[in-house]
Amino acid sequence: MQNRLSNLGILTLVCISLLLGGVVLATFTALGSRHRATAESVREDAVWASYQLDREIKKLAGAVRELTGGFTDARRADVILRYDILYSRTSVLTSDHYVRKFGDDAELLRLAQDTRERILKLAPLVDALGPSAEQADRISSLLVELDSLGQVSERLLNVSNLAQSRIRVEDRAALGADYSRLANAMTALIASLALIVTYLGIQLYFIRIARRRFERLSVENADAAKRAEAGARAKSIFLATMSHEIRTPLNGIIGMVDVMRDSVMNAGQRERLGIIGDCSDTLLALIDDILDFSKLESGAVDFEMAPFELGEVCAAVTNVMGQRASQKGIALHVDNPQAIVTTDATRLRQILFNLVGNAVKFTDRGCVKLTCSLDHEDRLRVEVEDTGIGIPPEARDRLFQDFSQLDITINRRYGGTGLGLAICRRLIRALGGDIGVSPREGGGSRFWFTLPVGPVAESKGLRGTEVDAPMDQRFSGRVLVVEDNLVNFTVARELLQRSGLEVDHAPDGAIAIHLLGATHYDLVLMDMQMPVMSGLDATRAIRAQGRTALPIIGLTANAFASDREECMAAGMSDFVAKPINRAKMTGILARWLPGHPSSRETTSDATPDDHLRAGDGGMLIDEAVRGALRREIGADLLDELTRGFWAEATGMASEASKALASGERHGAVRAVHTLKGVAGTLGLTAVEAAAQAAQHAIETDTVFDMAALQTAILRTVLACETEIDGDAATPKRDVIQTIARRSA
Amino acid sequence: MIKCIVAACLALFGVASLAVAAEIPPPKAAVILTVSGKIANSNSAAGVALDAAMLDALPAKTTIADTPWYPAKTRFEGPLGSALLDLVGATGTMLRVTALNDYVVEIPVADFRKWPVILATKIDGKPISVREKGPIFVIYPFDQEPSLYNELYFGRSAWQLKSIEVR
Repeated sequence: MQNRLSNLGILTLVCISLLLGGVVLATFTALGSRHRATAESVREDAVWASYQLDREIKKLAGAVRELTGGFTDARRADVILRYDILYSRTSVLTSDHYVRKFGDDAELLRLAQDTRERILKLAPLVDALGPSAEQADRISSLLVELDSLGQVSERLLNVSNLAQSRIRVEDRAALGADYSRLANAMTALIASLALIVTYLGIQLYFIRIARRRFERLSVENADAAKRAEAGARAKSIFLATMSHEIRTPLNGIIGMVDVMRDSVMNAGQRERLGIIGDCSDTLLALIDDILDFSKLESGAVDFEMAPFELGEVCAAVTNVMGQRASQKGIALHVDNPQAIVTTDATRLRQILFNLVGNAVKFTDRGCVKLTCSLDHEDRLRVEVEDTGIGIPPEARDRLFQDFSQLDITINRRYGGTGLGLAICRRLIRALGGDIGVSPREGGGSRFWFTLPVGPVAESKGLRGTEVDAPMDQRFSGRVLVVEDNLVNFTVARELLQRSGLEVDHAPDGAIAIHLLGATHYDLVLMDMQMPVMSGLDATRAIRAQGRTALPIIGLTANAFASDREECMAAGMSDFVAKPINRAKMTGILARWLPGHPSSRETTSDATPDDHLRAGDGGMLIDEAVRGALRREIGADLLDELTRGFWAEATGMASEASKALASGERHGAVRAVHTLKGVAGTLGLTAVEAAAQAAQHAIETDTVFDMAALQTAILRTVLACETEIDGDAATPKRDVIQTIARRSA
Repeated sequence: MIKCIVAACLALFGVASLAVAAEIPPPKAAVILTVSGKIANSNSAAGVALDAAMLDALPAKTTIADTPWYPAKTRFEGPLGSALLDLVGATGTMLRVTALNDYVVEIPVADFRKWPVILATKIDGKPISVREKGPIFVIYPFDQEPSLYNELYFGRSAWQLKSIEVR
């Protein structure tokens, strides 16, 4: 606005300047023409002419008077010459210039005319002069005429002098007016030019200021962008860390729940355990959703575009969702072409899980139908139809918005973050596709999305590995679990032992390599993040030793796609994201180990305590030590010591936590060290190991896994109570409560 | 031989004619112009006295120009000022020009040399009477040199020219 105003101002000033320039030019022209007029009017000065005339009249009169003194030819000739001269001057009086110059002075013109006529009238008198009788009369009358003529010419002289003066004054005034007009115009012109210069100067000043401001702003913006980028990076690191940190205890909870499902429980306990399990699953899904969304939000999502079997992805969806659907009593139909498509398989799977999961979730009866098709432009079109509650038309727009669920009641009834569809849309858009929803005739809804998936190739047929193995399939062989976290290890061990496998434990990569050198293993489950030597380094080392056939399965709590890439790059055979449950474990085992037909008899009767005590790598309780103690100090004392230890153990664990929190590393180390010692003495191997791990963690300044320690204590308590009471179903309630209270 | 005689005769004749030319004859009619002052030649006590015929005998020129003294373009005709100077053998640098009415004005000799200034004796082919500002009117070549059209040269354009004193 200001700019436009100042531009307008400049324009106005330029116009004014041009106008003034015109005025100056016109004035100059006027002056020039006046000058020219003056030059043209240059002629014998009128006053001078009048004066000459008057003088010539006087001279003539003088010559005539000479005649009165005696008439001679010379005197006569002189009179005639004088008259001729006078006569020659009369033409001036009537000339155009003279008339034009004094045209407005009537008296002057009259006098000039009169003078001229009188002079001309003298001609006969002068010509007639001669030695005659009338000579004297003629001369005297000539003299009379000349006298009167002299008076007239004097008058003419005066008048013309006055007129000349008047004209001169007028000319001077006009000239002065012209000059002052010129001066005014010039002054105005200069002023307006000065204003223009000022205006331009001001504009330049503002432009410079604006440029500086822009420069400063751009620097600030760059800084802000840098800060924002750093913030986003920090956020994503934080999220990754949090996902790891939250998933680790969740892993423990889910694993333990899985293990405990097989325990002997009454109906109420089973129901509560089921709730814990469901809650844990939901929590995990929520964390995954939020993590995904955050990553999409920050744009930190990398897509891995690679060719893959479309059928595999669909099968994976069918495996999981089919189960869920059948639990609800609805059918899941899948129809997909056999083709190898190119896009991000993980993301496609995620989208399908989401859409099909939603369809299953919101459908209580009928069926869910997943239809995939490819068009000639290599676009994949997927439709997910259900016969569920449907979506009101007015709600379709906000369906894909962040954190939107159609209404509170739905939220309450079905749960969820409401992020699923938003994530789907972001993923699909990022992959170059589109997503939408349309109503389905006869109720329900139809979600569809399209994705560019070129190049598309012929399918070589579905591989059998993804089909889910029966959960109770049994295997044989020896598995090495390389895992620093004892809870994770315990879970893995439980699951593996349940499948009939022998399990060894290596708390880090270096020990794993050592063990591999000594013992034959059929499979290695390798954690990624470990102290001393990471899973990736260990895998590389193992492969470098020439063990290329040994299946090494990567285990990690990080659900990032980049982790899988790293696993494969390091030489791992496969990848499993934590938390591991029995289904996942069985799937992996079925893929990498020779299987046995399922045998209900061998699994259904197995009690967890058999497994707790089975194996040598991950003992909860060292029966050899405890047996010896029992023999040496007596069963009652051992029980008493053991019970006393629980209180002490939880106390020490809390103490270690507190010491760590207040920065007293030595105090924390001392507490867990004592714990470790006591546990070792009592043959409470799991607690000992957990304390050992905790000590190690504190000493190496890595994350102190309080949960692992607590879990180890809890599990050992359970094991011991079973041992003491001989009844696994009724652990001492007071002990459990004590632990819970102390841990809080 | 014959050639030599002829050449000698011619040379003699030339010298004689020069001698005759240098010796300006006295005026036969009424003197209308007298040149005096620093002049090499003379034909009277006052200097060189010239009648109309003598003037007309000099190399002449015609100037047709607008002047302040006549309402329209006027045809002036008369001997070149420079020719007159040559005739009288003028050696000065300034000419004091006097008119019948005793009007006196000074004209630099250079003017006569620089421009074809004429001493007009005829207007429209007719001799100029005193009543018509004659008999001699100094006319600058206003037609050829517009820069001459100003008061300075108007002033030097003396009419009713009577005498010239070379100084």
